[in-house]
Amino acid sequence: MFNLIRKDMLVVRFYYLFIVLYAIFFGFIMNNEASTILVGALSAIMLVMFSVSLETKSKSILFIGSLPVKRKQIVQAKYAVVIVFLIIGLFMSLLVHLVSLYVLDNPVEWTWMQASLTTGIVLLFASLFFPVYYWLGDRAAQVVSLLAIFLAVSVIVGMSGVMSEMTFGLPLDTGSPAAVLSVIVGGTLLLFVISYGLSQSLFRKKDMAG
Amino acid sequence: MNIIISNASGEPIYLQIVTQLRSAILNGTLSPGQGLPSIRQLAKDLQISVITTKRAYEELEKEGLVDSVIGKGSFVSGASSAQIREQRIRLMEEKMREIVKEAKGLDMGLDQLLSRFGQLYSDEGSEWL
Amino acid sequence: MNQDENVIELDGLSKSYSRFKLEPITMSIKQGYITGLVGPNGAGKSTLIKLLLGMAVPDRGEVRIFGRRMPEREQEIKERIGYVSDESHYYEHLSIGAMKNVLAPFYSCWDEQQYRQLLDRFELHPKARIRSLSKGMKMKLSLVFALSHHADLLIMDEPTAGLDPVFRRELLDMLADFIQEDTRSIVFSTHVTTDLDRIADYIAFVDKGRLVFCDSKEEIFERYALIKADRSLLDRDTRGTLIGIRETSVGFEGLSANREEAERLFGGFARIEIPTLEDIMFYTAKGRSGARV
Repeated sequence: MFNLIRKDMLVVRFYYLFIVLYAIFFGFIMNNEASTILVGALSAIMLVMFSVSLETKSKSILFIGSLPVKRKQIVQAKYAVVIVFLIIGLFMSLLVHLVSLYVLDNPVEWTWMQASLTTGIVLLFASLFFPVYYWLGDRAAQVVSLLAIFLAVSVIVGMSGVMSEMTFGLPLDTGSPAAVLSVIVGGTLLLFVISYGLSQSLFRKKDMAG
Repeated sequence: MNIIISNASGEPIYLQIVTQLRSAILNGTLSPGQGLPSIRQLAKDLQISVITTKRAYEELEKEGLVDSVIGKGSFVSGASSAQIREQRIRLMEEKMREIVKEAKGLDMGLDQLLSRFGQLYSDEGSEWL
Repeated sequence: MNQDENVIELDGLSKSYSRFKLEPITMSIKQGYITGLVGPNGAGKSTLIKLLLGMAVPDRGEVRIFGRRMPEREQEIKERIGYVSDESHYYEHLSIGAMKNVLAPFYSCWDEQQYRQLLDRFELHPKARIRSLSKGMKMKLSLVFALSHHADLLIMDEPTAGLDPVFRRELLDMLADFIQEDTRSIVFSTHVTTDLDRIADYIAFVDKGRLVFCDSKEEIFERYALIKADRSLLDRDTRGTLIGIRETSVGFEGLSANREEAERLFGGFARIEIPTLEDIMFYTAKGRSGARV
């Protein structure tokens, strides 16, 4: 299981460069309310997508199927990797914030609300992506993943609007940020767990093919 | 010792091995107690299947020419010279049978055949003297 | 060694796809020997191998490897299997060395020294990108990985595809080396009967999703006979004894699965030869129906 996670982390090797580019572009160049979420969520989502598309491109499931792992662990590892990539994404957004404190006059902000929204978006994406991937295969997953990315981006943009409203329109004491934060994370986490169960039951009977 | 396998001969491969090992044992190229290559090694060297080699060795065991010791491999049996002589005579008889068949095909009578044999036998003998 | 020990046992294994059906297969593969899975393209060989490894899920039936049930114990089973697939499914963008780093930790018996030696022997460079390798080189790489973790069972799907004759011969030697230990076994599939069947002990012949036979090569060549004779010998009865017939203006050639019967029927009037595996494959697939009238 650990080796399967390690595999996906090794496989995306050069693609880590992309998340550096996202950080520079969406963080330092764009630098607005959505920056932190974009850097965090996009990094995690793209890493997940890269790892899956590299796998489908080489039909590597046929190689993975020969490895000494249990079928169940293959799905387990995929969901675990999402968490690992999410942590990398959150770390990148924090890094952008910390660096910007020194190099920008108007530093990129980083709040727990943004971090929880990032988490929510990534978990939502993975919850949609993997069941479709295991159900309909790589083509459909590519389409769905593109849709999911589009959805995620519009959600981010929408949320950034909501957030400015929350900052300006609502007095801080009426909406408890901790409650909103836990609803977002808790809700998507629940979705993520349900999605995991669904993927497991789909993959259990699935023939591994290219 | 050489073993040469021909794929074109139509003779089953295991028989080719049996024939060649048998004659090597009977003519003394391989001496009693001498180790033979392991079944798997011989299969590898000849690039043939293990079962084929195994069958050849089993055949030779049946003839009493080879002993197999589990875990140690196969050896040329320490059969007494009388036994080996008996085997060789049996082999010779096979050849004689072929000659008889050939002679009959040529309408050659027993007397004629024997006189030719007598001639050849004394020729051979004089070479040794 | 127990001669009757089976490395693989299939019990009523079946699988149907929309356009292909693998009929229930019950067979066993002997430990300590090389078994060739032969049959025409699309006969079901790859499906069978994927079912063996648990990559495809059977509709019915059971697979046991090393006496253990799949897929319940797939992890410990696959630890001891070296698998060579018909095409490379390694990550194309990685170098050989990087791929090794991904793969090696999965196996508790990974032998780094063996891996290096094999790379050297096959003239593969660890820095080379997998994408840049030819089909033959990818097959060699697959062999390197399969042989570097002390597997007890080597499963190879069409291993000779893309290999030049020189390397095919070398492969024979390597397989024979592998099998020097009688606890190890090899299963390979092929649609072209090549030099590989020279060293096969058992042949499992699959045709149109059906297992035609699985016997030792010795038995097969004793049982089957290739008959070549004048067409006047063919009548309803004699035709009925032949599995497949090829008639031409200068005579016929037919395959019989009963040498004694063939000798009784045709002996003296026909040439009766030992067929090659290719003959057996050809006539079984062709059948006699197409040749009639």
